[in-house]
Amino acid sequence: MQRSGQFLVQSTPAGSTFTPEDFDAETRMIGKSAEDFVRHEVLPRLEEIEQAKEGLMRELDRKMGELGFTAAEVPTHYGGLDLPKTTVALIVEKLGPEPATCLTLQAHAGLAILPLVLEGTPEQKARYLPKLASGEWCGSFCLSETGSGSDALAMKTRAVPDGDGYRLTGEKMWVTNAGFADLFTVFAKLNGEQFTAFLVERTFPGVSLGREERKIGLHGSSTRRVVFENVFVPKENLLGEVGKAHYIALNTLNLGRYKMAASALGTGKYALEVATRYAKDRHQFGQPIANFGLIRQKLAEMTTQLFALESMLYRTGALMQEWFEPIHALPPDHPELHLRYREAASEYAGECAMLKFFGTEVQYFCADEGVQIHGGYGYTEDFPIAKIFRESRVPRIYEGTNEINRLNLTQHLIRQMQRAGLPLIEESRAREPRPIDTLPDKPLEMLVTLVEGFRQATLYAFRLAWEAYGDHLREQRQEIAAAIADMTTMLYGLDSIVARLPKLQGTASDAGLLAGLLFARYATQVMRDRADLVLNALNAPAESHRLMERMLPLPRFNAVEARNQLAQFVLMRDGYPYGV
Amino acid sequence: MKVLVTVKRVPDPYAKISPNADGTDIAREGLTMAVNPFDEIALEEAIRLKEAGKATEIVAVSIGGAESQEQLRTALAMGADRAILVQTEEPLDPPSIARLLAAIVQREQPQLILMGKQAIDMDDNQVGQMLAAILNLPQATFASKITIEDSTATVERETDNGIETIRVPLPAVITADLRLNEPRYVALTGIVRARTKPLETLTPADLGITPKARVRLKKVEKPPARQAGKRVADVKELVRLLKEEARVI
Repeated sequence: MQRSGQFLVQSTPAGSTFTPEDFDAETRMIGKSAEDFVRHEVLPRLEEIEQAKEGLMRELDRKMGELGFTAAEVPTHYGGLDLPKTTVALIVEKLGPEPATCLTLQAHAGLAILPLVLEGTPEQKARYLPKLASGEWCGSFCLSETGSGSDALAMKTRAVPDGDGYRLTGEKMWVTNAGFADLFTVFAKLNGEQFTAFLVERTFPGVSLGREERKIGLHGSSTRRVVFENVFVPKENLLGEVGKAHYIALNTLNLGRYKMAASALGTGKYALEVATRYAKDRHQFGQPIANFGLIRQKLAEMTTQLFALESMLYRTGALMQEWFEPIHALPPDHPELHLRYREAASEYAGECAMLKFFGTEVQYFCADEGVQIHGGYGYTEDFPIAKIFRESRVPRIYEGTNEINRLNLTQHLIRQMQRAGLPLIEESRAREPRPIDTLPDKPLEMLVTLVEGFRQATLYAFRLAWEAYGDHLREQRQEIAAAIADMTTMLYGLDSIVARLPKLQGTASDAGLLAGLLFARYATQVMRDRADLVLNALNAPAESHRLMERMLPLPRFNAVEARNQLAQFVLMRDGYPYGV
Repeated sequence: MKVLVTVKRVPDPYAKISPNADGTDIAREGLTMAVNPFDEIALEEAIRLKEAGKATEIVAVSIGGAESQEQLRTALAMGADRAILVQTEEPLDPPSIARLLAAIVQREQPQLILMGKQAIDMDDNQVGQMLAAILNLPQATFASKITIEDSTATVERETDNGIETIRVPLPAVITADLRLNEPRYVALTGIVRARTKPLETLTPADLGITPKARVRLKKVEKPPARQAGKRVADVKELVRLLKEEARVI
């Protein structure tokens, strides 16, 4: 089992990471099942979904239950399929073309089911998981409140002991699936201070719903307040340990963030697909606009970002799976099951946070450029890109804003250093100074050299920030913590691409190298910008600036030509050119 | 009643097809492959017969390279009970495929052979008819409705003159048309269950057959690009051009 953050201190051997090319025939079949469902059952009903037709989303959710999507992460003992995290992400990715349906599944199969899987007692699991896994029941997750969003611990919902159970009072905001959920996982403070989770059935007296929120997008998905008025919850419905619900909330969200990157990838690929089709159909100046360099440049950059995201996502999924795998062998009533789940679900919290903010920003970029390629028509509801654009805004906000998740990533690195012995400072000292004076001309060698430079630069920035702020970096200098998160992300992105390249065959291999070069070019600029920000904020000497610049040389190649070539592959394949 | 269903590996119906560089085949790189949609309809019908208690066992059979196992696994995931792959890398023509299938039928003795009316790659529409001829079995092609009573199948088939209803005694060969049913999506539970279902691999030699294709694929090329239209001044000119240039009137 690899520890989180290894990519910061070790080179990644070529071909050693898990990539979509590694999916076996069975997994590809699972992906196809989700893809067929979304293309034939969901996309043809877009208009009804947009109008939030009564009962429709519940019907789709039930169908996803029949097809087994909701059972993906449920242990086999409780009627689930216990699929690997990589396969779970593939299902979510394939549902990406319709974000409302995809979100409904994520709230049901992830946010509602995972708290039970991670911390439920065998009795609680036996009572609720089979129903949730089959889709007979839908579930939901109640954490945020009017006054507590990012600051979840400031919540006001209270529970007090009452006879054989508890009385729950409070109001929860932004509850996805609220309109038709049968079970709510509710976070509250027991006796006003102990952060504790409860399993609340919708039929418990005192549970009521607010009206549907009027959102910018995701109209098909139900988002309402859920009000608990002195609701009696029997004591067997207390989930996990009293005062330790933060494990449930955070670990569920970690896995949720990982899957958000998968839905972002799916939605982003769909934006690329519809934009590519439009660019081929739309004629101006007597030819398809796909012939024009500035359109091709957009298609190439969308592809590049998606390729990086995809390489990072599935790599992380496989690393997490190594932690979940041994748990399958434990008996369902093993007394330390929840502790093992805690370990497995929190180890990669940093990478999950990274995937969440990077993924949702890639999604937004693709949706935005997708609209731009459509021109004026992109601003009308007559083309699917408008809806995709509206729906690509909120993922940057929910499940931890991208700002919070940047802080989470850097905080996680500090934690890995302190608790898991990740030698960030030692490695940085050992490596310094190894500036890059010349970049090799051969593209692949150039990329390998750049990754090493990224690694050194990130460690260097981290060390300087650590020496200045230590443990207090997150509270005292959010800006620096976020800049280091960005550098870490660019490193992980390029590292994951370079490790993946040897697995690509044929034209995908050529297209992969082009995306690698283009991502390196983009990422170097981000690295330089963030490094400069950190060094200046820390009043680092000019020598540090010079050293940093020499670790981050700009790759020189003809990016105009590279984009044109990559766009050609996209146009040939009518979209994303690396296929599963 | 045992039902034998054919499952051919073909390019995904939504895939974009183009000739390869030397025109010897279609370009296969990165091409998504799928179960022939007409075979999928045949399989769906077999599953419905089983669900209705009319069929007891569904055997899916494919002929082709080792990669055809993927499509057989799909068939097993949809609901077939077991699968047989006749593994060969030889290019085969419809008569050779029909002969191989006939050998499988003799080995399995199904009461019903259900297959797609044609495969969407070559669109030959020959194998079902040839198979029935080799085995001297009744055939009902282009089925849009199948009713099984005792040992008789009543089949509605779509013809240019309307719906024709025919009755055939079983065993028989029935080929499925597009409107017979709408195949189900493969459920994840089915995929997981398929892991343990048997998939047997045979060679043509095991069946005592050395296939020799008499039809060879010589060249694959793109259809000619469509010519741009022409604007005519009036009806008179149109008629003249249709006569003199297009020579259609």
